[in-house]
Amino acid sequence: MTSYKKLLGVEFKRNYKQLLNMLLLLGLFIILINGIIYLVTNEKLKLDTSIGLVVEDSAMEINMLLGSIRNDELSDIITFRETSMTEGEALLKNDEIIALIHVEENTFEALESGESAKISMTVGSREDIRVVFLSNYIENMVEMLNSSQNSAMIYYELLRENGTPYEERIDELNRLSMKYVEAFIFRSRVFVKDDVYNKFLGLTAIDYYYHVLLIVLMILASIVYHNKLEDDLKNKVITRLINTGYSLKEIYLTKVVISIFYVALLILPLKAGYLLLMNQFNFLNIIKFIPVYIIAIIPIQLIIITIYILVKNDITRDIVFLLFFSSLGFFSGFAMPLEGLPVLDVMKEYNFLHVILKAFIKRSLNISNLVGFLGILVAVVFLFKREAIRFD
Amino acid sequence: MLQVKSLAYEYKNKKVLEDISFELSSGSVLGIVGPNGSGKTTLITLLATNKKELTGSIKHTMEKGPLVIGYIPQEIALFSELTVLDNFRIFGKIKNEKDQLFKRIISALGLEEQLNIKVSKLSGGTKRRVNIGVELVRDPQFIYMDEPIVGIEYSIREQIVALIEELAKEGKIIVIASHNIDFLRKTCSQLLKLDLGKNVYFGEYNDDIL
Repeated sequence: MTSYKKLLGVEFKRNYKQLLNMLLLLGLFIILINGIIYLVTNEKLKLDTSIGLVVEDSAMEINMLLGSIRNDELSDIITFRETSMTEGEALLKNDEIIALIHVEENTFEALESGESAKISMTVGSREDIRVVFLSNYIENMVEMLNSSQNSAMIYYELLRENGTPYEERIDELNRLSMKYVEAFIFRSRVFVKDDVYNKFLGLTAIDYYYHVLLIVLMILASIVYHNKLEDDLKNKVITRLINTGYSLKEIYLTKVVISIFYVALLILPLKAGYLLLMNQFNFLNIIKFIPVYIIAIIPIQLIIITIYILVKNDITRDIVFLLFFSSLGFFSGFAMPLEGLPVLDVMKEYNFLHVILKAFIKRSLNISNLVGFLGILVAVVFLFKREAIRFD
Repeated sequence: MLQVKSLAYEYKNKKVLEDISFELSSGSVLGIVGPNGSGKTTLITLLATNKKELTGSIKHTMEKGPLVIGYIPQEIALFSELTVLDNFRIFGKIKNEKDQLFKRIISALGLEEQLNIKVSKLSGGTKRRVNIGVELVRDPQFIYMDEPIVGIEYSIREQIVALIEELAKEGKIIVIASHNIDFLRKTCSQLLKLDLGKNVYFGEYNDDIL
C-alpha cells in the first residue's frame, strides 16, 4: 500500500502540468463543438430544396396528382412553393428555388385526347444532385402518364376495329385514362420504406457529435498524458523502479489511476457544462456518468500504454495511434452514423468505441456489446502483460 | 558472492552474449571492458535485472540480510520533474533526511546544495551524480554501474573513486562497465573483457588487457 501511495504521489506531482494540456484540449473541444453547432444550425448552410410549382390546369385529376406528390415522402426533403411563371423564373435566377415545374393549362384535356402530358421543368443547375433526382422523378412521371395514354389509344383503336360507336369509344378512352392516373397516383410512391431513419442513435446531430467528441477528447487526452511513458521507458526509469522493488502492477496502475483523474478534470466539466446548456443538469446525472466514464476510459488507457510499450519509434507510434483509433472510430460511426449497412451494423456491436458511445448516450447495451468490450479488455490486458516486462 | 555460469542472451534472434562465466567474492570490483557493441551494457542489465529470457545462471549469494541489488544505468533514470530529494525518496526509499547513509552518499557526491532543485534544472554531470546516489542509499550488496562517470567533473570523480573503495571495503560487490581507463585503474581489482559478446579475458586487473 505504501508503494502505491508513493507512486500515486509521484504520478500526481510530476503530471500537474498536464492541466495545461487539458486546458488546450478543452479549447480545441470548444472550437470543434461550436463548429458543429454552426454547421447544424446555420440556415444558410442547410440544403435548400425548394421547388417552384406553376399550375395552370385546374382539373380535379391534376390537383389529385400534384396533391399526391406533395404529400408523398418527397415532402420530407422538398418544399413546394406555388408561384407564377414570371415569379418562378425570378426565384430560380436568385437561387431561391432549385427547379420550376410548370403544369400547363389543359394538361388533363391533352391527356384525355391522347396527346402528350404538358408538364415541363426548368432547373437552375444540372450538376446539383437534388435537381438530378427531381428531374428523374418528373421525367418518369410524365413518361408514365404518356405511356398510359398510348395504351389507352391502342385500346381505342381496338374498339374502333370491333365497330364500337364513336361516343362509346371516347367514353371508354376517358375511363381508361382516368384509371391510369388513379393508378399512378396510388402506386407512384418514390420511397417504398416508411420507416423513420434513426441515424443519430435517437439523438439530435449536436447531441450525437458532442458525445463523439467527448470520446475523441478522452483518447487524445490519454495519449497526451502518457507521452512521458516514452521517456520513462527509454531512460530505464521503469526498469529502475522494478529494480527498486516496485511491481509492474503498481507502476502502471498508478499511471492509469492518475491519468483517469486528470482526464476527468477535462471531461466532467464538459459533461456538466453541456447538461447545463441543455437544461438537463443535476448532480445525479454527473454521479451516474462517473462510473461510465471510468469503465470507458480503462481500455482506452490500456491500449495507449500498450502501444507506447510496443512501438518504440515516435513516428511509427503516431501513425499506429492515428490508424488504430481513426479506423475504429470510423467503423463506430464517429464521423457519420453508418446505419443500415448490415455488415457494419454487426461489426459495430463488437467495436468498443461504439459500445462506449452507446453507454455514454445511455442506450441499453446488448450481449454483443459486452462481448466486444470484454474481448478488447482481455486482449489488451494480455498484450499489455506480455509486453510490459520487455524493456530493451 | 556472485556466480555467473554459461550466461547467454539472444535478442531478435541475434546472439548478444555467449557463454559468460565468472565468480566474484565480497569486496571485489570488476571492470567490464570491450569495444562498442561488445555486450557490456547488456551484461550489466542482465546481472542487475535477471531477465527470464536468458540462458545459464546468475546467482547472488548473501552472507546476511535481504538481497538488495543496485543498478545504475547509463541513462539518467530519474523523474526529471521532481526534486533531487523526491527522487531519493522514490528510488532510494529514504524515510528521512537524517539517515546516516543518505548523509554520507550526499556528501560524497557533493549534492548537499541541490536537494531541493528539480532534476530537470540540474547540469548533466549533477544529474549523473544523482543517478548514482539514489541507488547507493538503498545500501545494496551488489552494485552494477553502466558508464557511471560520463560528464562528471574531475574533482567529483575522485570522490566517487573514494566512495567505491569504501563500499568495496565494506564487502560489497561492484561491477562497472566503462571506457574510462583511468577510472577503471583506480577502482577495479578484476577485469572482464568482452568482444562480440564473448568473454575474452577474466582475471586480475591488468593495464595490458585494456
